[in-house]
Amino acid sequence: MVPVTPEEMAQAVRRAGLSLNPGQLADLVLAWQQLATLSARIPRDRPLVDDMTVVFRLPPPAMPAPPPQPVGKTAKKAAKPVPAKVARKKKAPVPRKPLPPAKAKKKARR
Amino acid sequence: MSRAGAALHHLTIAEAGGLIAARKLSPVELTKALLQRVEQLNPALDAYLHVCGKSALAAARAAEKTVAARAQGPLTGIPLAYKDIYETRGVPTTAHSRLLQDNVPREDAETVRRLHDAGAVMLGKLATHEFAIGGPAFDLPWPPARNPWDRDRFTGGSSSGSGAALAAGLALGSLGSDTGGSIRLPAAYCGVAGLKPTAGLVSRRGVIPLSPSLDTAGPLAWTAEDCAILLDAIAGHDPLDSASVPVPSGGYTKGLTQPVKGLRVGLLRHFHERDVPATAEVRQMVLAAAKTLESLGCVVEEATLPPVQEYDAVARPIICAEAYALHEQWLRTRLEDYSRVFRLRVMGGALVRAADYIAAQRTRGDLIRATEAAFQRFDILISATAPQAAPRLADQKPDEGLTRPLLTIPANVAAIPALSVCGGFSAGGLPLGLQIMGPAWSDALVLRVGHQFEEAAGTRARRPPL
Repeated sequence: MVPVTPEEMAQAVRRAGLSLNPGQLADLVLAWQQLATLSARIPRDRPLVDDMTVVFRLPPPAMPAPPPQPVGKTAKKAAKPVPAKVARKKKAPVPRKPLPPAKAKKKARR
Repeated sequence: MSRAGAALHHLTIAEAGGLIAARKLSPVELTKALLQRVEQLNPALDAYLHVCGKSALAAARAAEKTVAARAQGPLTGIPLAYKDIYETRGVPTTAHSRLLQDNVPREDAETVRRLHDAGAVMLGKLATHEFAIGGPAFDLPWPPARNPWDRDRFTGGSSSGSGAALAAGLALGSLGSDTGGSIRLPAAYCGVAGLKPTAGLVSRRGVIPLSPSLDTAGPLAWTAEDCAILLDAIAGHDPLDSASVPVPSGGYTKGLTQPVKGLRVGLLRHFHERDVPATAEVRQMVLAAAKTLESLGCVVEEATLPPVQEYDAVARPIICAEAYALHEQWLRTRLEDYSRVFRLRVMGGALVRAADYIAAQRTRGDLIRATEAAFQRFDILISATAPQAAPRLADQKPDEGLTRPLLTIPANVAAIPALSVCGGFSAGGLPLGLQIMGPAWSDALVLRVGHQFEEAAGTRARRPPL
């Protein structure tokens, strides 16, 4: 049993904000002695850099939302396959070549 | 529609579910039979704190409609009852305490909601140790539950009403909670099955907490198979419970018949021979259980874990400190309203230093790793659930509460699944509990071994002499 003086216990009880009658105080002394005996079994000589068991784990980051799916008429249009002819005619716009510096100057004067 | 001449209150969930699905048993008839049994036996057993007769019959009638529409599941129309720390909408939830005598929650606990959605019928709320800690108390508004095998004996706790109700046929299944053995001990003393699932598998939202680091919610029933059916309904991620883990769940019932041949079983002989010496009957039961598992094709060898005392020394300060923190305000202002047993178990938490608490949490990590290491050699571990059959109520000594290590506490510290099944009987006819533990997330395996053990050992045919 872990020894505890009545004064030490009275101080601890005051600090805990408890108001105990003599019977309840005797119960607390008994419970504390049993708990302290158990606690004394726990090893304390751990390396300082040992793992921290008491950790706060953040929830995993939210996954990026999938791009919105088209709805209604737009969805039908998007889902419809493009006819081969149209596909061939529709060429991607070719970006204009920038003018050589001399021609660009003339154009600017005009 | 009923099974002629059969005792409806002694059906298992699997049997009742089968009869209901085949339209040979009506949920209303089953519910009425159970309510009648509760009315007849509860005054002697004190398993129920609150019976919900009207709403149970309404739920049973709704279940009948579901059956008529052929939309039933395995729990449609099955009468269940919950430990009175599970919040139930519109139904008193007292935690067996004067402090919550008038508490009527607005919402169901997540697990209760899932069972309700599965079509189960709630018969009522069951006795517990006050706030799920301590022992039988006679200074509370309700008396403690009595053991149906012998009314002068302790049910075990804290899910005391669950153990008593299931053994007596006052419900077909139940939900309990387990912080240091509170599902498995009543399962052992009352001769039923009870599973403490892997921490994080079952939501604890809406279950009045005791020690959030170690609390787990889980099922109790007459058989391991019934526990699997209940677990299928309640397991699964709950984003609103921060301890709930998003892992795949389910398939517990389906997996019960997979073979156990070749499984490596570790026999924790030191648990009940050296650490917490058990009675000769209990030792005999564990050896006989090992032989039964061998007869099923398992390979049994002796295993070792750190001594039970090491797990106990870590768990108790954590439980006391966390429970004290939860109850601090009421302990300061309404101390007299608690039972003496509760005060003895929790008040010491006022004096646990932060350094002691953190040392306990850090050592818990070591014990988790040591337990995991044992499962590299073994698929499951077995031991006794308790070192003796149910002790006499009169012999319960609350003053010694923290001096007796529990064989169940290692599974709480290690956060692993542990099932207690009826392993056999004492010479006096009292049930003895066998504990089956597996590595984290092996709940299906533990239930499978428990189910096949029960079938081979034939312990489910015997009922209390009521």
